[in-house]
Amino acid sequence: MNSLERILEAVHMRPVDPAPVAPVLLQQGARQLGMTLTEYFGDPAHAFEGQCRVVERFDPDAVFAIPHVVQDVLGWGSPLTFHPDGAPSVGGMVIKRYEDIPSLPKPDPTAHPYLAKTLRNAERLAKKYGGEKLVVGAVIGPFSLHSLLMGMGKSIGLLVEHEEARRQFYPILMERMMDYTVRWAQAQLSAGCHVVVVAEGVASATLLRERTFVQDAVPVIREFVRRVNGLVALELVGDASPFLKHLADLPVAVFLIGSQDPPREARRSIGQQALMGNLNNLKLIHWGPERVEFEARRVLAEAGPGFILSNQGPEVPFAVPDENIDALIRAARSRAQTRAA
Amino acid sequence: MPRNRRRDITQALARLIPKVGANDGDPGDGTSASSHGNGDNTGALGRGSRTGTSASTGAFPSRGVRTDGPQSADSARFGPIFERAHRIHQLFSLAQDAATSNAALLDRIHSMTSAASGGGFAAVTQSLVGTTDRLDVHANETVSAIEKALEEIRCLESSIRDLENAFDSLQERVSSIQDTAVKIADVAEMSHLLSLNARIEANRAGQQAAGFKVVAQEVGELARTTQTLSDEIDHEVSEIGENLGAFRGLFETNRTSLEHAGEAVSTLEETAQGIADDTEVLLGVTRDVEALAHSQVSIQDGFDWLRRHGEWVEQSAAALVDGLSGECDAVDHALRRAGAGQMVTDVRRFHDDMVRALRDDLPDLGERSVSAAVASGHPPAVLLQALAEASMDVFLGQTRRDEPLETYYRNGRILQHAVESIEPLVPDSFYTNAPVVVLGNAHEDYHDLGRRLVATSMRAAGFRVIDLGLSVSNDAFVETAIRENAHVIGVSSLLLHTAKAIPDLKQSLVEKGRRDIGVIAGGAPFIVDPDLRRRYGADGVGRSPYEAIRLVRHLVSRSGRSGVVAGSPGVFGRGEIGSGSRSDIRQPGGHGREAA
Repeated sequence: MNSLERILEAVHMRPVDPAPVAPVLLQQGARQLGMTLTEYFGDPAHAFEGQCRVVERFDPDAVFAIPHVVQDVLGWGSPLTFHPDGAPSVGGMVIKRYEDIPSLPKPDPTAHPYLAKTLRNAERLAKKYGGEKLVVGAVIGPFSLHSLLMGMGKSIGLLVEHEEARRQFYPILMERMMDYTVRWAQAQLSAGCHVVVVAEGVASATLLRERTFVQDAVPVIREFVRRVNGLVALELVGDASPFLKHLADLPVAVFLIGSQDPPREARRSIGQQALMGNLNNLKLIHWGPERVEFEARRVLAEAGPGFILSNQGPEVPFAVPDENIDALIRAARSRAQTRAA
Repeated sequence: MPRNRRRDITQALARLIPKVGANDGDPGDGTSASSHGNGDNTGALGRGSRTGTSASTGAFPSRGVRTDGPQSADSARFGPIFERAHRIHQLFSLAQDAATSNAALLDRIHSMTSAASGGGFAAVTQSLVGTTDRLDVHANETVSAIEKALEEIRCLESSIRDLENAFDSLQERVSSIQDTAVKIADVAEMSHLLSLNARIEANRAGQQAAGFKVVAQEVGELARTTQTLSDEIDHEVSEIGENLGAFRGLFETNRTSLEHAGEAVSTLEETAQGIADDTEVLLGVTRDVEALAHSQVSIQDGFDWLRRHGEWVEQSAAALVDGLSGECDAVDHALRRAGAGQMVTDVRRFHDDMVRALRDDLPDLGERSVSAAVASGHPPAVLLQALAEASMDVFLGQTRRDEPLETYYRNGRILQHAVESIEPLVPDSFYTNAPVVVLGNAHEDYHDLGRRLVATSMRAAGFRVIDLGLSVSNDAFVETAIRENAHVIGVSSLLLHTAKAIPDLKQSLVEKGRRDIGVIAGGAPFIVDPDLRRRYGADGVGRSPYEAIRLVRHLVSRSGRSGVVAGSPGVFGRGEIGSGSRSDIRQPGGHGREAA
């Protein structure tokens, strides 16, 4: 049974031996190539070579076509600011006032050179690993993308405070976001990704009240999943467990959960659907390998079948020692998924 | 404590009230309260659940709103009483806060106690110890048995070797017998020839050699018999030789089998030794596990101890809350008697309305309440205090439920409007001893929402806030904090790599000799990994605006700097009169870039 088969078995909730493991190693390729993150992310084409090196070094069950998650803003004309020791950040807001929303363009993500190179990564990874490992793409979800285009304050303000602005502009904004994110997800799937992760950075109990989530976020998420033709994995960034029950019937391949979401609790909300997660990505920096292996075994024991061992989003930080990643993978390789503890 | 405290407060009020009454001709018998409201004496500054009902005109004219204008005389008249009243209410609020936190602590202790004792740790450990001990015995027995088996194999090898030697000797003897038989056969042949010759000679000699002829015949007979015996011996010895050859093959087979058995037992011996060694390691691990179990039991004992003391604190806190509640009633009543009844009622209503506006997210109610309160002409400092208490009452409940950011955003917009309406009306002298907090995003961090919410909440809580904005360098933080004589620097950071600036910031303060300025942190990395606080050397982390406020209070109190000692009235706390808030929203060291 190869990596891809292991993951598919887990997605189908069947016991797997050994357990599948797919840490989100977006930055480790830079170290393998001897680059700073500024250099590495400066050209997304590096991500292909980086993923190949990651496979050689760690042999995880999945490879990632995207260099980082923030790239999605590029299609809207937002600049990126690169950092030597972390993921890029958004370098400026393209929506400065709510009144700018109606004049927003309808950008084609595939037309941006940076994003086009990401698609090329997907093609090359699919060609090289397609039958062997899961090839993963990712988009920032339609409900959350605008927070990177106008700032979190304006986004939440539009959602919960400025009623008139919301009435006038919110439907237009959502239509633009939906159109862009669906096209971008579809493009990645067409390029060869087996699955695309939709990361909703705003839609979780960390940021929203339940009523707001049900009223505003759930319809958008459902519409996105309905429109995308292919496998989707959903990540509610932050505290997801309290809200997962509202999405239990969503036809997604897997739900990504964070360290604050115990698998047992998440399972109670979504029933017999696959989960992926959830080691604390910041603690991975400072834990020793023994602790990493212990925590990984603990979560595997708790989760049982239908679980892919990984970190919480968005990625394994650059500062995490390679030995800790080895320990994470070793924990899965030495353990069969039988039943939840 | 409540009884004595109440006596002190009553005495203090007794000293103040006649002076007030004498100044404005108020009869001081409490009847004036009814002329200003409905006689509600349930707390001028609000304690959450109570609701003011007065709608009558206020004791103070609802014209000008600056406290250094027409209301100055009223402020001067009631100020000292309000200072006491605020202090009492503050203590009451803090006692409630402590009781609430203690209740949360007790809940957690109960659940931790269950979790710590839920796994049958002692039984598991005992089973592990027993199994390991038995394994140790089995391993030693196995090693010993294998050693014996090896010894037996070595004996067997030696016996087979001796047997082979004896066998070789036997084969040599058989060969020797065969050689002898050949010699006998030769003798028989020679005897036979001799007999033939003797008979020929006897025939030739005739009758005289008749006897000789008989002897020759007998010799011939003897030669034949000897030949026969020799043939038989040869035949028997040949058969023995063949049998011995077969034995030789068996010896070879046995020796090979013995060698294989020896090798197998040697492997078994190494394996058994490995098992024995690992069993030794396991014994050590088991002892460690047992020590952990002992610690676990100690922890359980500790939880029991904590629970016991927590319950005592609960009882004391309940008594304290109850006592201070009575004191609040007493001071409110005293205020009414002093002629401040309408102000008491109006401010109570303002407090309660703000609580409702914040809790139920009713910005319109918040705006109306602020407008009405400002228009009433009551001292803005008193209104700010009421606002501070209202916000803290709401925050306290929210913190226990881990509210989402949306809630703080909704609160923030209501508080912001209220603060911006009231704050400019408060005289500068009001802010003399207010705690000073310098806020900003870490260098290269452009996520401002959390920082703005905290700033607004701190302003509403009576702090002087200097907001340096986005992407603030450590130099700008330090320079501003020293210039403004700040108590605390608050660093907001959404990204791990921007949060890394905090250790250097702490170090800069130390190098400048301002170790007394606390550094607190907020933002996602510190929530995801609470241990980052210790690692980066921050003095605390606020997960919410309320936690940030409580943290600042604690640090200011701990620093022992001016006006921060609990119990000194009119200085510090929940917007206590004499402190107030004056916030500077500016970005001297901040980045001009827009927020994310």
